Amino acid sequence: MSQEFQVPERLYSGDQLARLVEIASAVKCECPNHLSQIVSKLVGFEDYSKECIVENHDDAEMHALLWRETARARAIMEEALTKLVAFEGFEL
Amino acid sequence: MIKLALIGPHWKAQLDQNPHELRRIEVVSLSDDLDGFDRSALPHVVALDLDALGPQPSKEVEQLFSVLNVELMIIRYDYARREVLHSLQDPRIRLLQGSVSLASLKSQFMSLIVRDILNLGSDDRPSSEPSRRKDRACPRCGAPLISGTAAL
Repeated sequence: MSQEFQVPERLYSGDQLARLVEIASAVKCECPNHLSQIVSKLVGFEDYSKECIVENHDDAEMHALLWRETARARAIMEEALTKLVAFEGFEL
Repeated sequence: MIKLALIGPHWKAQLDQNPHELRRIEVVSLSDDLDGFDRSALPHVVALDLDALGPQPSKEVEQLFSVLNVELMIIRYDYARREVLHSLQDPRIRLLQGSVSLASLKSQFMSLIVRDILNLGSDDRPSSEPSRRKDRACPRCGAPLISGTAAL
């Protein structure tokens, strides 16, 4: 596993993401609900791929790459979600 | 009324956010894990996270079915190996991937809700009570028409 990689801090707890799945949105497209599900999926795969690093020693480097890139993608979508939450005026 | 048990760390947050989504459903147990699950509540439906089943989910599920008269078990997971999912294949089990809204959860056992409505008759009155509304019947076959589905 790369020593240089700093895992982006998670901006949302599981409970906050769960609330966002249910929250009624002023935006008719229901993007907050969908975006929270996307973030949840990325969090899920981030955790899953991190386990793969531990369990699959031969492929550890590849799984470490998958974990890092997923964490980066998760951080990007969390930023987008944060802007949307602010736009909607949600309190979580 | 359909009795539902929810097992997993985030169902409570969803319920707090959207308490009206599960109308016609009685949440009889709400816990983060299996240890907190109130088995004496005898739910018709159990919705739980795969992680709550521990390292041997199929054995845990078998144990739950043996002690509870559960009609449907809905297992939510994020990512899981195919062999694990395969071990959980059972007509009484539904596997759902990803975060699941309460509306999606409810849709999984809509048939049980409708059956419950039919058993009770309209407006939650026991079916043995006479209906206060004029009964409507199919004009072709004379069968009584269902009322109360608006409650869904």
